Parts: sequence; structure tokens; C-alpha cells
Amino acid sequence: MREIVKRFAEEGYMIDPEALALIASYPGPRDELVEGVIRGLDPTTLVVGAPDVERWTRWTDDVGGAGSLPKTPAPSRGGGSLPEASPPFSREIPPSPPSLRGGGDLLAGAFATAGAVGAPPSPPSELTTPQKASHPASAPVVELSPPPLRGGGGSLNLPATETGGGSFGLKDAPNPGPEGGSGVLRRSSPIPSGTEGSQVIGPGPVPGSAAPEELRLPGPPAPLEALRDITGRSTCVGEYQDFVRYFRDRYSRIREILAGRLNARPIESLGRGDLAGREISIIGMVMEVRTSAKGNRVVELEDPTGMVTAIFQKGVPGSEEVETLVSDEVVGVTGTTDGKGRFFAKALLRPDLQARSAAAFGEGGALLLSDVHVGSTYFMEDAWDRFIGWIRGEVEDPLGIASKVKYAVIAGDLVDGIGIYPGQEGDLAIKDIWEQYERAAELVAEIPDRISIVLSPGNHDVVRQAEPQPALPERLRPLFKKNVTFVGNPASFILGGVDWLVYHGRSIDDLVLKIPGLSYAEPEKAMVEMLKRRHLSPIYGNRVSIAPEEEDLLVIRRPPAVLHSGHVHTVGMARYKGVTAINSGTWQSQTDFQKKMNIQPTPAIVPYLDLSTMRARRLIFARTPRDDRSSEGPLPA
Amino acid sequence: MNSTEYFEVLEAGLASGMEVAGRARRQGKDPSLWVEVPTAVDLAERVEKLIGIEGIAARVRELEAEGMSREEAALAIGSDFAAGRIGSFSSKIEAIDGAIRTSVALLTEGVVAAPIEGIAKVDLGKNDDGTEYLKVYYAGPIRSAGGTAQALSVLVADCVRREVGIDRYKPRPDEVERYVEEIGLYRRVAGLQYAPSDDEIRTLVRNCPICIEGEPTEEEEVSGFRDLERIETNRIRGGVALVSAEGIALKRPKLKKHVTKLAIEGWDWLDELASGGKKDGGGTSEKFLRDIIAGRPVFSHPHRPGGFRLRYGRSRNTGLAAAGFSPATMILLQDFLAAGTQVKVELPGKAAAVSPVSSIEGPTVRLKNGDLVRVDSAEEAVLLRGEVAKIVDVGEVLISFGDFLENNRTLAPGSYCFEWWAAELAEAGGDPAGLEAPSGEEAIEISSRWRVPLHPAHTHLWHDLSPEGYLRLREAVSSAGEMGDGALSLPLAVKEELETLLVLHRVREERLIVPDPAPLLLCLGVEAEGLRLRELPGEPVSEIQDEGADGDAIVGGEPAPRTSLDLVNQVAGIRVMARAPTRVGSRMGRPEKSDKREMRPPPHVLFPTGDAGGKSRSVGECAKNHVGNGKVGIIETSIGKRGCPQCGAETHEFLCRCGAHTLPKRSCPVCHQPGKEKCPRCGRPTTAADEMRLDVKELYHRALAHLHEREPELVRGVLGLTSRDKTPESLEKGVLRAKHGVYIFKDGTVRYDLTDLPLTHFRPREVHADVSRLRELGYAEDIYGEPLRDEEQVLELLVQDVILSFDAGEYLLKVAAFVDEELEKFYGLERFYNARAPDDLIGCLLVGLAPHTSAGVLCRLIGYTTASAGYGHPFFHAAKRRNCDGDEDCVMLLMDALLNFSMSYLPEKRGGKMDAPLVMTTRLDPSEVDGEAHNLDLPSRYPLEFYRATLTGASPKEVEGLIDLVSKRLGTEAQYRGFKFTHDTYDIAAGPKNSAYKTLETMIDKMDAQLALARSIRAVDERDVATRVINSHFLPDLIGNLRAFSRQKVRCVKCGAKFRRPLLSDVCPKCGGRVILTVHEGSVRKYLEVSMKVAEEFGVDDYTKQRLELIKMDIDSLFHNDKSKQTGLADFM
Repeated sequence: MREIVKRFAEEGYMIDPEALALIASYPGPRDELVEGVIRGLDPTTLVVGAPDVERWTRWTDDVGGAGSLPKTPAPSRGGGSLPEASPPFSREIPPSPPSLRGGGDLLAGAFATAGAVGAPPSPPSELTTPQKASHPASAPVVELSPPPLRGGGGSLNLPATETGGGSFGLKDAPNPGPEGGSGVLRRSSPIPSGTEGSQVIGPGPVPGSAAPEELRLPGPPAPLEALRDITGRSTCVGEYQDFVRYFRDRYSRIREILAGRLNARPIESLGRGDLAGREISIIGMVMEVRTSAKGNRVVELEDPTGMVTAIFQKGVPGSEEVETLVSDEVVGVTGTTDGKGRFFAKALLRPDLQARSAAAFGEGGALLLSDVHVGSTYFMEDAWDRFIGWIRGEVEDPLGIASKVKYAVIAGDLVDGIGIYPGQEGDLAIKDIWEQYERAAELVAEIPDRISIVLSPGNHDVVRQAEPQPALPERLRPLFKKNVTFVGNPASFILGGVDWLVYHGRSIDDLVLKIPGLSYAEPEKAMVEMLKRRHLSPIYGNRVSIAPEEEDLLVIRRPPAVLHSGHVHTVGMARYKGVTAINSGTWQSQTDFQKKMNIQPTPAIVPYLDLSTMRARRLIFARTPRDDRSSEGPLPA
Repeated sequence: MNSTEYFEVLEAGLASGMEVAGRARRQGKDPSLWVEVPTAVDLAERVEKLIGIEGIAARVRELEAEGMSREEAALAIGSDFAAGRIGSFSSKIEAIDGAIRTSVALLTEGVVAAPIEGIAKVDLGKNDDGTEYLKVYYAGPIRSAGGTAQALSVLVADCVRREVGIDRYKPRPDEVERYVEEIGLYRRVAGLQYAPSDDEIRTLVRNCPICIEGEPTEEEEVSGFRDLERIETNRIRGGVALVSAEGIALKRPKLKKHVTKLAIEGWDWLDELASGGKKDGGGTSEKFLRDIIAGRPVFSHPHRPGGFRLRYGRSRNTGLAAAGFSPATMILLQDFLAAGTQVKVELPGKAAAVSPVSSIEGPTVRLKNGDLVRVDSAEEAVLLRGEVAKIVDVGEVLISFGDFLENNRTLAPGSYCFEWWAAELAEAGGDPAGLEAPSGEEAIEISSRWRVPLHPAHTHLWHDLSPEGYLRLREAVSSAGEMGDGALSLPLAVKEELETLLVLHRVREERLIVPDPAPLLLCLGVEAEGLRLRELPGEPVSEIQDEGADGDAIVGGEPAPRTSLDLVNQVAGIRVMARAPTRVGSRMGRPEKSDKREMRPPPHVLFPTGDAGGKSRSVGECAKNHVGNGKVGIIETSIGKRGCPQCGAETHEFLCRCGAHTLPKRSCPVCHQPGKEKCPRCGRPTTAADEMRLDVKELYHRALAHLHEREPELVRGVLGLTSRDKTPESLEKGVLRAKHGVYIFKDGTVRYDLTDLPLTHFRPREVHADVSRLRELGYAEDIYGEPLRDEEQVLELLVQDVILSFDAGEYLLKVAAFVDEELEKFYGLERFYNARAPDDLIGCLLVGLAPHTSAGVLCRLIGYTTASAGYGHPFFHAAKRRNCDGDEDCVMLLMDALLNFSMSYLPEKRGGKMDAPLVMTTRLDPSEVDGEAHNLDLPSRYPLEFYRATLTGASPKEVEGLIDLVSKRLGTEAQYRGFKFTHDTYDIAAGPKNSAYKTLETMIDKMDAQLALARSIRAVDERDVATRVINSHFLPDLIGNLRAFSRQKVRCVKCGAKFRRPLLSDVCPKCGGRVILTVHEGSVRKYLEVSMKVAEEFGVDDYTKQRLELIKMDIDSLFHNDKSKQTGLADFM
């Protein structure tokens, strides 16, 4: 109970005992309720009353959710919480499991839709964890009716806003603060779609300090605004200092997020005898983590001042979290020291996103693609042709999705590449790397010009393997049409009015190996783990190669609206604390290697995301046994 | 000297050594009061001593007396354990454990470490129906047991389990799939000889009544079937893969045989496994070309004209996987081959050791002046090496029948050679004596008279020449040839044809001069007089060629000649045989080795110095160590605690101050409860190791004073001890070793490593031993029964005698000096060796020991060779479970092993007991050595039927009866004496002393030499070599280093501490030293440029070129600062 009072106090509120009792009686996760309530508060509130709590709980019960809107967007005052516009809550449909329930009924024409990620997100108690999200009871077979309309219309059609001063994003800008989000997000001069040729993201112009009001005007379609990207800005030359700078940058950025939540001391100071026995906190990067003979978790933590061994006893509350500790993530730990270099840890704090029920909203629809693997003998050209037929409006599209598509994002592995794995030569239909790109460009060119395409590289592309990877080399860019924009990996940008973070997803290989409960079948869970750690690729030294740049671009500084990955060839969707995380599958059928490794890809399924509602669907282009029959009639509504 | 006398001499020598060593050990200055190398006369005793359970030897001898085979005895002894007839165990698990280990030991001749190290433990698991099942945990060293013993160990476990009443293993579906994934993964990571299909694995796991478990051996983890409840690790378990795939699946037929014979139930599923069993080696393969390495050249591609010509036979220094090469070949292949160099071969096994044999043909080369000459002798080769323009043919390779038999490889057609021809002549009634090199006229005359094929010296390689080439040459001889001075002169235009045929010629005034041309003319159907063409029988060749397929195209009712050889046989009137029907592809494997064994860094003494000794682990440095408050030379370290049984004092030393010998004091590392083996409270193994303050300064100075020695320059200790009780050696031993410059291995002995080569006969000259000394050693007579008088007589090598490199002699001399001083100054006893020169060591006893084994073999040094290898009798190598395909092992001085070896020094870790003399074989019984030696062939000539059988591709088993083999002599006195050989050699150490691979310095030099050689050998495709080198060496190296750079560890320059990732702090958190990268740009880029250059120069394929291009791009992108470029550009503008 004290924590609840404390938490409200941190945000500058007092709480009425009745409200406190109400919270205490809440059956769901209390923390999420608290965070929800805080976010729903009017800035003028001083004392949190029972109605403030009731209102929030009512939303959670509100079926359909339409019309249940917070009174006002409520930017927070504190440095640590999320200040974005609060969209309505509604009980919504979670992502359906990958398998297509309802079978052939859903198939029509060249594609079918199956399931949808509900949008806007429902309260945390229902949907914040992907495990719950796929709960069958709340997973409808298919969501065909339009999503519940949000009240308020255009005025709410805002890009994510942030309170506080300063500019946002680029590395030269002042530090965006603990959440990486206290700056104001603005559009730099919008670039009309398809008129300026293929765009390359470089160090974009630093956003000016225009008044926030400007943001309310829905400007001309701005295809893409680059925020962070390595292309043309690599500084690494391969010296020891590069590595030190790189890890220090990771440490200090994540530390800033944690520092707002606990009062940490430098590790060096733990040797002081006078601290012995007192409860203190530290923030450290994990150097080593192992399980002792007695079953305790022994974690070596490092900060720039020193190293300490923290011991988490087996079976204490919260030890499930400790089980998921991986090397090189940055965490806060509270506990006591014996003054001799050992630290008995009681609690672990991750730089997790703070509960945030609302995503940003933009406009238009986006297709999320990746792992096309052009050039591979396993590339599914038939399915791609069906996809093209659909997007070009050449087949019936009863849902009218095709025409709504304004954007397509390709998160790496456009081609199969050469020499990526031993013996690859035998799996290649096109053995010349440049011919692979020529063919890929032809295939991409079949997507109508009206659609803005963003192309990010992956580990099969011809850019360096070490991450962050720059955009495709200049010699390849003229092969593509003008609606293609080249970005690095990872890349963050604003597209369709919302923040995107695109990362190919190499690190999922490591995460699946190291975190219990993760699997290739559910890549979205691994993406949630990235968000919890505020890092796209926390584990150093295993499968992921890193380029030690002066800035760690893999840190998730500001929670995006969309986190888009690929690499593992399975479609997965989750909503986590306001972030829509989507892994976009592949266009390559199961390879012999994958068969051996027990990897079941879900090829030729394209996630579609309606940016105005943040509702996601799977569009299925894989040929199924029922194709012949279903191609005759329109989609049964 | 007969074998009984010989063994008595050896045993007497051993006994006198034992006596001295025993006296020394009894002084209590070592961990134990007795010599720790137990000796064993036979297999039964060896097994008992290796396993350490009494009663085994007696039982084994009983079973053998009943006429049981080794394998039957291994299964039978399992029941003895189960029934409690052997040993006394506190639990059934312990009995099963003992049974499995004993049977594996029996099956492996009690030599390898597999029974003690390859089986980690045996345990019980619970089936889902509540019953118990048996789990056998296999560890990495089980590999050394071989497939049969692995498979039978499972069968033994099954038999024992039934007898003690444990249910079978009932796997869960997840577990079955785990095996499928894991075995597949292991195959990729570590490689498997035989890869069962997924379904075979499923059948095996579902039905195998024993759960094949294992310790994790690889870093890799399975990714699909993880976190299974009953399987403790996600990492790959190598033992599981080996026992399942190479054991049960591969040895299915053998397993089946025993199951049927003993009527064991529940193994019917073996029939469902696909084929299993060794495939009869048909055909040849290009496997040997796989993974070729930069700097190790290819000598011939498979089947290519110009490659090694297969000649059957055994020289006194070949067999047991060693193949004979002409010393001229070894030299002209740019010195890449030396005695002992390993070559990977197409036939008959995977690899062979090079042994010089001077009686076979050397290479045929085109000189810079155009002459085509064959070089048979080393002297000529040395003279001509600078003149060679092209190696048209690399010469012959001598392979023994025994090697084909051992590998069960179909006999390939042999080259037509003198001994074959001689056999035919003899059969026809002629006498081949003195007819090694008749003139052409003579050869034709003999063949016509005796109706035998043309003499091989005049048989050209007609099968390599196309019929068109044949006609062209014939035409040219007739139209443009001239006879003069008994030689044929031909125009330059037919040089290629002559080279293909290996018709030797000179080039003079733009003409090709072929001496002694009669056989050539005969074969071409050209009259010697006037060079007129004789009529060719049969249809024109080109038309027949158009028929295409090699079926029996019949033209005019008769099989038409279609190859040049057919044409020759039709026109010559005498039979002409295929001169080189089989070419053996080969490339260089490992270089030969002859060097002292050094650990890294190399210690003089097993004494812990900790960080105080610095990087060199210097004991002297340690004695000067300065810590905190004043006292110098004190270190804190973990070391074995010992107690004095007499006065109760505690110390780490072996001798208490009161004079009594101390004993280790073990206790539990966690509960601190004393216990001999296990903690009485928690069951953990106990240890005597404890943190102690050691006054190194005092110990060191006491040791020096004790020995009356000055401080040596550097006495190297070790960082820390790794044995169970952390038992240190006495510093005195270190001081003396440092003085004499000898280093020790983990077990306290000094080792010298040598590549194994076989030898059955020798000449005193070759072994650089005095004739009189050899007579004293028992070499009274030569092979003809003549008394030994001069150094050219051929003597039969006694089975436990060895000949080592001169360098080994120099090193052993140092060891002997160390041992003598140790005896004199440390133990206060008489010196033992008193050797002043390596020659003084001749006649001394040594111990031979191979890696992965735990049984030494007593041997005697009788001479030295200039080769960088160790020559020993095939039985001696087989007793160590080695063959001679490039393996290496070590020798120790007997006294060194007896005095200084102790079990207490051996590391605790898995595999720690391997490569240590846990037992020593004193008397070599060929029946109890590795079976490979039983296939050694012993005749002085192979019969004609044998050669004829090679032409029909017979299986070696079919002709086994024709040839004298060791297996036929077992159990008789003839098993030791009366061996013969088919080919002699002038010097067993001929050819280069060391492979060019060892003498060339940089990798680039080696590779340049490799590519230059590829260009100069006709049988080698240099483009293929370049492509393979890039693909299998440089590209993986570049990719690996690039990857390593981006995932690298860092290291402290001061204390050497390593960290998994770069640190956040500037300095080493342990010592404050500077931290540096372990992988640098330089190491990433190292081979980039040279690879690209080679790719360009040799025209490798585009795919490979593009891969290199992309790697260059990757490297540039990683190491190039975009921003500095931008600034540069801006500045310029």
C-alpha cells in the first residue's frame, strides 16, 4: 500500500483513502492500474479521488470501447512517465494465433485476412503481455467489421506529441531525457511522395523549434522523416576506445531511464564499510550471469567505476525476472552490501516501458514485409505475384484494404545474398549478387508507385554484417524506383504520422537461446523482451556482430508506435505498453536447414497495419489447398 | 636372440630401474612411497590395473581359456558383475558402472582412456509409468574406444540391467526428437564418420533399452528441443552422438551378430536400421581434397594422368598405413614431403605417412631445355631441382596389400611393374634375375620368346593417349621421323604425345631424340627399318569413337579396338600391359613432427606461483613477491593439505619435519567434513586442496641449499594446480629441470613427441649405431642368418626396439642428465645413466605413450635417424593403438616416468587421465595389440594371382589366402621373426629432413610455394587448388575473423585476465592494467589482399570472387570512419 501512495507522490498527486481502497481491491495487476490511473489524470488534479479510479476501471470493462475517451490528453509532469496523447481505451481484439482459424471461409481472391490486432489497445490487464494477448477466449476467429470508431475525429488524429522543451531525436540534439521522449516531435519539411526520387536517410535536418500547434494540422502526406540511422555516419575504426565508447553510451542512455526510478550509487562506493547492511541501489551492465550450485543467480554487474557480484537468492519474489537476465543488459538492482564486494540483491528493475495504454495514431495503411530472399531457390514467386495482383487491385478486394495502403516497409533480407552460410551456392537460383538485386528491384517495382516503400537491410543484404548496418550501397539504389527510400538497420523514422523503429531482428537468435520461454514460433515475445530492456540486441558476443559506433543506435531511446522486425520467418504480433510489435514473416518457403532446425516459417503472410486505428491484420498469400475453390467467389463477409 | 631372451633382457632392465626408483620413492619425497607406474605383462592384468578392481584379470584369463573371443568375454564379464562374482559394490549402480567400464576396457585392449574417461557415470531415471531405467553418461573420450566397443558397451549395460531388474528406457516423443536434432547438429559441428538418417535415429532412440546420456561436450546448444525435463543440458552431448551414430548405427551388423548369438531379447529393431556397416570401398573419392589448407599442396587430383601410380608392395619401412614414395619425388615436390609427413590420399584409407622407398620410380619431369627425364635417385633430384619446368608425372606410390585389407578397399588395378613381369616370366619358365633394365631389343626378344608381356621398363602409358594422338604420333614417326645412332629423331610437334606416354627424350636442334626406340616403334606399328607403317587392324578409330558409350560396340563381328592400348596390343604382336591404370590422388596433410612436448607456458615444475610469478610463472619472481606488510616471498594459494601420521603436523610437503611421510588430508569443500572420497554429509567428492600461505622464498632457498645449486636463470612453475588435491612437486625437481633445460607435462614426466613410422628391418648404417653395440643388444645375425659384421647388413627389428630422431637423442640426453642429478642430489642415490653423448643412451629403456590412451609401452632405444620421426615396429605402434597415417605420440625416459610420475598430479577435469602412464605394458604380445597390425603383410613377393586379381577389382578378402600375414602367424614363434618385405630402400631417412611446410616461414610463402607447385604438376588443376584454398581456408578465415572482431573478448596486458566483452572502465578491474583488444583490424584484413590477388590470377569463379568483394566491402565499412571522409571532402572544397 505504501508503494501506491509513494508512486502517486512521485507524480505529484495525493490520494484519497477511498481511492486507495479501491485500488487495493482491484483484482488485476495493481501496478498497471496505478499507471493507468496516473495517465488518465487531468493535469489540474491534486488529490486522486475514487472517481478517477472508477473511471479507469470502467474503461477496462467497457466492451467495444467506443466513446470511452479520456477527457483530455494528459501529459505528465514527471520526467519519467509517458507523456503522449492518451487515446481512448477500448476492449479490443488481441492478435490471433498464427494459424488460420475458420479455414477456407476466410479465403477469397488472392488473399485472406485472419484475425487482427485490436486497436486501440485495451487495458493492460488484458493485453499488455503477449501471452495473454493470444488467449483463445478473447481471440476472435476473424475481425472483419471496421474497428470501433474513435470519437473526437480529426482533432485526435495527432502524431505522437511530447511535452517539454527542446528538439527531438538526432544525436546532435540535446539529450531527450530519461524517456528519450521529452522533446517535441515535429515534422521537418515534408517531402511529397514520389516526387523527389528515392530518398536516402542521412543525418536529416534537425527539427526546428516550431510551436506545438503546428502539429495539429494534418500536413501534406509526409512519407518519411528520418530520425536515427547509421547510414553515412559510421565512426567506428576498430580501436579499443571505440568499444569502450560504444558500451558506455549504451550504459549511460539506459541508466538515464533507470535513474528516474531509483536512486543509484556508483559500484565503486560499495567497498565502503559504512554502507554495509544498508539498503542501496546500483545500476549496472551485466557482465556475467550464472546459477550457483545452490540455485542462486550470481550476476556480475559493471558500471564505469567498477564491478560487483550481486547474488539473487533462489525463490525470492520476482525471481522469474532474474531468470531472464541476459548478458550486457543494463539493470537497476536494490539490495544490501556486505562491504566486502558482495551484494545481496532484493529487487531487480528493468528500464521497461512505463505502462502506456495508447499508441500514437497516424494516417493511412502500411504493409510490413521482410525476408523476401530473392535469388533463393526457395523464394515463393507465385505468392509474390498474388500479392502484387492484390495490391494493384487486379483481384477483388472486398475489404478495400489494398486501396488504403500508402506505405510498405521491408525490414531486411530483400535478397538471399551470397556466402551467407556454408553451401549456400546450392540453394541459389541467382548466384550473382548484383543480379539478385536487379531481380529484386523488378519485383519491388511491381508495387504501385503511389505506395511509399522503405527498405532496410538485413544479414543477407550486401552491407556489412555488423550492426548497426548502413542502407544499401549507392550503386544499387538506381535500380529501384523513386518511391523507395533506403534506410539503415536499425532505423527509426516517422511514417504515416507515427514513430517506427525497424530492426531486422538478428538478435532474436540470441534471445531465443538465452531467455526461457521464447521460441522462433513467437518472435513477438522476443520483441517484447527488447522493449523491456530498452535494447534491440542486448547480448554481446554471440550471434550478433556489432560495429562499435560512438553511439549505440540499438538502444530504444523512445518507445516507438511500431516496432517492426523480421529475420526469423514467422509472423508474430503483440501489443506491449502502447507499442505495436510486429514480426513480418517471409517469402521463402521452409529450407532444408530450417527443417533440420525445427523452424516452421510462415511464408507469404503480410501484416497490414492501419495507422489510423493501429489495427493489424494478416494478409495471407500463401496458396492453400482451398485456393481453387475460394478464388471463385468474393470473400464471405 | 630369440623372443624369450629378448623379453628377459627388457624385463631385467625394467627391474633394475624399478629397484632404483623404488628406493628413491621410499624416501618419502614424492606423493606416494612407491613407483606409480604399475606394470602389466598381459591384457588381463592391464585391464585390471586400469579399472582398479581386483579379480578382473583372473576372470578374463578364465574366459579366454574357455576359448571366448574378446567380445564374448566382454559381454560375459558383465554378468559376473551383476551376479556379484567380481568386486564388492555398495549399490547396483556401482556394479553396473564397473561392468560397463571393464567390458569397454577389454574391447580396447586395456590401452585407451575410454573406459575411465569416456563413461562419466551411470545413473537411474524414472519412466513415465513409474519404473526405473538405466542412463549411461558418455563423455568425449569415448571416441577413443571406437565404434564396436561403444556399441557393445550399450549391449553390456542392457544385459546387466536385466539381471539386476531395471526396466527399459521409455523415451518421450520430445526426447526422441531431441536426439534427432542433437546428432544432426553434432555432425555439423564436430563431424561424424557415419550419419544415420533422422528416421534411423528415431528407431534407435525409441527402441534402445538403455538411455544413452552424456555430458555436454560442445559449446553449441540445440535450439528446437530445449529444456526437456529429463535431459539436463541444452548443449550438445558428443558422447551421445558418437555412441548412437558411430557405435550402434554404424556397427549394427556386429551388434546384431552378438545379439543373435547370445539370444538377447529386445534388439530386433536393429534390423530396421538402414544399412550400417562399413561400405566396401568401391571406386575412389575426392573427399581427400576437401578442406584443403593454404600452404599444404595438392600433389595430384583424383585419377589424373601424371598422378601417383599405384604399385603394390611393402618396403621394410611401410605398411600399417605408411606408404612409400621415391626420395626423388619427395625432393622434386619442392621438399614438401619428408619422412613422416602426412598425406591425405584417395586410396586405400584416408591418410598415410610418407616413407622414403628408393626402389620405386621417381617423377618424370620436363627440364627447362625440353628434355623429358625420369629422376629416380635423391642425388639426381637435388642436381636437377632448379632445372625442372614441369612435373609431368609425380612417380610411383608403394602401398601394401595389408593396407587394402585393413580398409577393406577393393583392389585397384596395379601398375605393371618389374616384380609382376618377373612373376610372369618365371611362370613361363624364364629366369628374371638381372633383367631389371634390359635394352629395348632385348625386352622384345624375351617377350617374344617366353610369350610374356613387354617388359615394364619399355611399356609406355598408352592408356593415357587418345586414339587420335596415337594415330598422329604414328603418322609423324613414319613421315617425319629419322633414325640415327640407334635413336629416333622426331619433330617438336609430337612432344605432347611423347610426354603423355612418358617416352623419355632429349631435345636437340629442334628435334626430339628418343633413345632405344625399338619398343616404341613396335607399339606404334612402325618398322624400325625405313620407318614404314604397318597396317593397322580394325576399323578407323574415329568412327568407333562416335559410338559414344563404352558398351560393347561390335564392328564387323569383332570387338573393335578403341583405346590406344587396344591398338597397341593388336599391332605389336606381343602383349603390352597398362603401365599406370590407377592413379592415387593426394595432398599434403599434417607436417611430420619431432619435437619436445611443451605445455603453454612450459613449466619446469608443478608448483603454483599464482599471479606473483608473473607471466612466466617464475618461482624466483615469486620468492621476491612483496605483499602488504613487509614479509617477502609469501603467496596465498590453493594447495594440497597433508598431515603427518607420526606427529600430526599439517603441511603441504611430502616429508614432515619429523621425517615421516605425510598423507593428504581431504575434506568436503563445502561442509568441511573430513572424508576419504566423499563427504559423509553431502556426498560431494572431498579434496585436500586448501587456501594456504606459502613461504616460497624459504622453500626455494631451502631447495637450492639442499641441492648445492646456484639459482637457475628461470624456474617456471604453474599458475595454479589443477589436480584433485592440488598436489605440488618438490621445488628441487624444478631447479634441476631448469638447469638442464627440460620441461614437464601435466603428469610430471618429460616428453618428446615424434611422428610414428613403421620399420621391420634396418641396416646399422641407417640407425647410426655401432655394429658391435648392436650385437650386444641382441642383433647377432642378419636376415639371411649371417653373423652381423658390417653396417650394410639387413637386420630384423626386435618388436620393442625404436629408432628416434637425433634431436630426440639430444633432448633425452638432457633428461638423462637431469634424472642422474635428481638421483644423486635429491635422493642421494647413484647416478643411473651417466650418458655424455646421445650414443651413450643406446640400449636404454623408454616408455612409449600415445595421446588418448593411458597405457605406456616399454621400449628400447637402439639408434638414431636423421628423419624427423620415430621408427618402431608395427606391433609397437599397434600396442599404443596407433597406425602410421601421420599420427604422433611420445617417448619418455623410463627412469623419469618411474621417479617423477604421479597420479596425484593429474588434472581433475574430463580427459585428465588420458595421455598418462596409468599402466605399462612390458611384454608385447601381437595377439593383444590393435588388430590393424594383424593385417600387415610379410612376404618377399606377392604371387602372380594377386596381381591378376587386382585387374578384376577383387575384394582383398578374396586374395587374403595368397599372402602371408601376421594374423596367420599369431600364437607361434613366427609371430616375432622371419618377416620379409617386397621392396628395399637404401635409406629410411632419405629425402628432405623436414617438410618445406615447416621450413617456409610465413603463410604467404607457403601458399606461394603451394600454388607454384600446383602450376608445375601436370596432375594438378591449379585453378581448382586456388578456388579451394580460398573457399576452404581464406574465406572462412576472413569471415571468422571479421565475426570475431565484432564479438571479441578483451584482455588485460598486465595480468592477462580476459573479459567476455569490452569494459566500461578504462582499466582492468582486477589489476588496474591496460586493457586491449584480442582481434585487430590487421588480423581481419590479413588474407584479404592475397586472396583477391590469387582469385584474379588463377581465374577462380565469379561466385567466389564476389564473396571476396563483399567481404572487402564489409571490412571497409567497419573500419572506415564516414565522418572523417566527410570532413576531408568539405575541407577540400
